[in-house]
Amino acid sequence: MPEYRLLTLLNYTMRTYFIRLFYNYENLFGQGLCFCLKPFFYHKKNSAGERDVLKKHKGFFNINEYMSGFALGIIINSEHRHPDQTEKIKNILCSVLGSLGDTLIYRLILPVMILFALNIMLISNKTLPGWAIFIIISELVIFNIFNFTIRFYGLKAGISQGIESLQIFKSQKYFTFIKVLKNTRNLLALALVVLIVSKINILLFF
Amino acid sequence: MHPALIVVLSSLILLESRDITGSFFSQPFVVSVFFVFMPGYDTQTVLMLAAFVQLYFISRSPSGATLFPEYPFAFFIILSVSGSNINSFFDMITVASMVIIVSELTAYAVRFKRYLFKSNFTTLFWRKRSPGLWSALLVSMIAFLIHSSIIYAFATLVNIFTGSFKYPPGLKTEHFLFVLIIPASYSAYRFIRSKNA
Repeated sequence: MPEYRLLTLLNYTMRTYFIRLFYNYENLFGQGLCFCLKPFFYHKKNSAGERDVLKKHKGFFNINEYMSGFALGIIINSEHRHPDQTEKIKNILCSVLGSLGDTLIYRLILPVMILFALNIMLISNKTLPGWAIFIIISELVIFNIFNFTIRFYGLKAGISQGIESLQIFKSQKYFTFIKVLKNTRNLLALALVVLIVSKINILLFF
Repeated sequence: MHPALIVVLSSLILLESRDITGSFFSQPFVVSVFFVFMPGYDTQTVLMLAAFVQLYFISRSPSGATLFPEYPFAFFIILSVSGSNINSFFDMITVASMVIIVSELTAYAVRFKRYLFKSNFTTLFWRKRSPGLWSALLVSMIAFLIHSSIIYAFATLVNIFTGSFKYPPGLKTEHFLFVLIIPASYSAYRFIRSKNA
C-alpha cells in the first residue's frame, strides 16, 4: 500500500464534494466515482491503464454523498490489495453507506439544525437580533466542519483499514451519538410546537 | 433585486443544494437571514415563511432516484419575486403554495438534467469518456439558468395576477401562525413516533 500524502488526501476529499454533480439514472453515482478516483489513475497508469480502471468503475454505484469519503477510501484500499474483490465490496458499500448517511444526515443532523434555528427565530419575535444570526451561522460552520471531517476521516480510514473502517458505525459511541441526536431532535420539535402555541395565545388575547 | 441576479442566484442555490458541496448554505433558514437585511422584506413574514417551508419538507429526504422537491430553490426565487408584496394572510398562503408547487416542478427539472448526464450523451462532452468537472458544471449551470428563468417568469406573472385581488380584511400576516402549527405538530408527531431514526 503506498503512503498517500496529505495533499493527495485533500485532493480526493475535495473531489467528493462534487460526486453528486455527475448523477444520472443509468449508473447513479458511477460517473461521480470515476471523477473522484481520477488521482488514483496517476498511480495505476502503468499497470491497469486509465481507460480500464474507468471502465471498471463506471458501472452502477449508489452512495450517500456524505459517506463518499469512506466509499472512496475502501475502494482505493481494495484496488491496491485485492482488485478482483472490488465489485463485491462496492455492492456492500451501496447498501450500507447509503442508509447510514441518509439516517445520520437527513433524518437526524439536518432536522436538529433546522429545528434549533426555527426555535431561535421564533424566540426572537419580530426582529432577528445579532445573537440569533450568530447562532444560525455558527450552526452552519459547525456542520461544515463535520462535513469535511467525515469525508476526510472516512477517506483516510478507508484507505488504511479497508472495509474494517466501517466498524466505527457499530461502536457504542456511535449509538450513543445517534441516541443523543434523536432525543435532541424530538425535544426541539416539541419545543417548537409549544413556542408556536404560546405565540398563538398571545395573538388571540392581545 | 435585479431579475438577472435573482435568476443567477437561484441557479447557484439549486446547484449547491442538489449537486455540489451539500453544505446546507441554501436551506431556507439560512437564506431567510439574507432576506431579513434586504429592504422591503418584513422580518416576521420572511421567518414565518421559512419556518413553514422547512417544517413542510422536514420529513422528506433525498433517497436514491426518487423525485425530491427542491424547496431551497423554490423558497429563494418565490420570495425574491413576491416577498416584498406580502401584506396579508392570503398573500402568505399564496406565496407558501407557490413555493410548494415550484419545489415539486423543479424536481422534474433536476430529473431532466440528470438524463443529460447519461453515458451516451456525455461521451460527446467528456474527454476520453471520462467526466470533467468544468464541463459538468457548465451543463448543470446552463440547465438550471434556463429553469430559473422560466420559474422567474411564472412567479412574476402570478405576482401580477394576485396583486389585483382584493382580499377580505381582518386576517393579518401574524395569523399565519395558525397555519404553522400544522406542519410543526405533524413533524413532532412523526419524529417522536419513529422507531428507527
